Amino acid sequence: MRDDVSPNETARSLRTPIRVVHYLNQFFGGIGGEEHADRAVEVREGVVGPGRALDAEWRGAAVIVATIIAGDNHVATWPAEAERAIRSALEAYRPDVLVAGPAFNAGRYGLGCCAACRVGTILGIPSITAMSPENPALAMHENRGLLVLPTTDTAIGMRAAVPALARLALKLGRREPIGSAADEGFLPRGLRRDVMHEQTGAERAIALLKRKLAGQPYRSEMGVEVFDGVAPAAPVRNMDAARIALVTTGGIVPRGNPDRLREYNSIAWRAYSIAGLSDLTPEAWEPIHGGYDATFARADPDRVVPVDALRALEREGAFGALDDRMYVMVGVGTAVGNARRFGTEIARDLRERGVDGVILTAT
Amino acid sequence: MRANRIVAGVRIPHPVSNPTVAPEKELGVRTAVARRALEVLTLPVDGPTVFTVDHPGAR
Repeated sequence: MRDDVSPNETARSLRTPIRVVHYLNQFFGGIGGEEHADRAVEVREGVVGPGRALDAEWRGAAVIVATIIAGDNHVATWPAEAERAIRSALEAYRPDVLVAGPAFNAGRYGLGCCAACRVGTILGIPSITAMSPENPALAMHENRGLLVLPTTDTAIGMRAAVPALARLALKLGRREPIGSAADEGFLPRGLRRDVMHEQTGAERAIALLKRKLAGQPYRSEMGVEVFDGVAPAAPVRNMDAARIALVTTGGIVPRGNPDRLREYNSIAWRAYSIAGLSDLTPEAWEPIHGGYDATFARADPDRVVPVDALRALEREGAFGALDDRMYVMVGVGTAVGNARRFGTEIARDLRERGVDGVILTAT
Repeated sequence: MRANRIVAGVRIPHPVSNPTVAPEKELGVRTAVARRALEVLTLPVDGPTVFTVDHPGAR
């Protein structure tokens, strides 16, 4: 995949090498192991540790003007302080590109690399890091938009990681357009970019199909969303005493939609009181979901959220108590990032309210 | 989908009910679906598992 440096580029690079700042942890920065993990952020002029391998790849087309080194614990424990120090260093050196890591599957190092890249991005400095796709730092919401090249779990993969990192860093430093994740090799960020194509969609689809039928390699233009797996919750032990809450993606709201929840592409959830209600009447509740035929739910909202049935079961003693709050989302065209946030927020709320089990009705 | 405990619903616009049964029987469908959901909450699962509802109206 690596492109060769053409004579023209070599000539240009001799005039104006790309200025790089490199971020490392205390171990790769040559300070020491775990006993030095509390070291605060420091800046060294020039190349340190793995930077030498990058430097060799660039052959003068880019130079590491400074290396930021921070202890793993320091970054994980004092993120605000660490980010301020990284910011000062980047403002002082004003590099064309920031390279962080590779961090492999080291969690705190991954956090540091991501923090450095976020600071760089805020300052308008193209920033890139490399680590294992399994690195816990990448599960954090704020790190989802970063440019990250995949590596192996351990530093065994350093030799393979460096050329890819050097190549893409050089492109970023030169402000060259960056292609898709599949073309450039970085981890997909869930972003789509409009492009012009000389063939129509129909022509491209037929060409893809022919390749597939012929057993040739092909690549769909539609990325298939990969959904997070969630470990199953433990079963409810004592249903007789359990507090059960209702959650729905069916968009049943108080009549008139007082919170103006969107009918599509939802950005918010709401909890509404159902305390003392024996059912959801069409006079008081209505569906605002833009993705299903609402005729049935408009006539009786219990068809989407069975409050009446659960009240009957509550009276019968089939479970402890129905929670006073009904959680409402409008699940149509909702961005996965928003859905993930709704889930996190609602789960936190449910836990605080001592809810033991949830029935989520989905349309 | 990656939900772990899934009770098979009736139709998208009325997942826990069935407007085609006689009106006096419709609450019975909802109650059967809700009762099954409560039961499923007490069952251990290893991953996404679909549970059906044994009720003539819940199909």
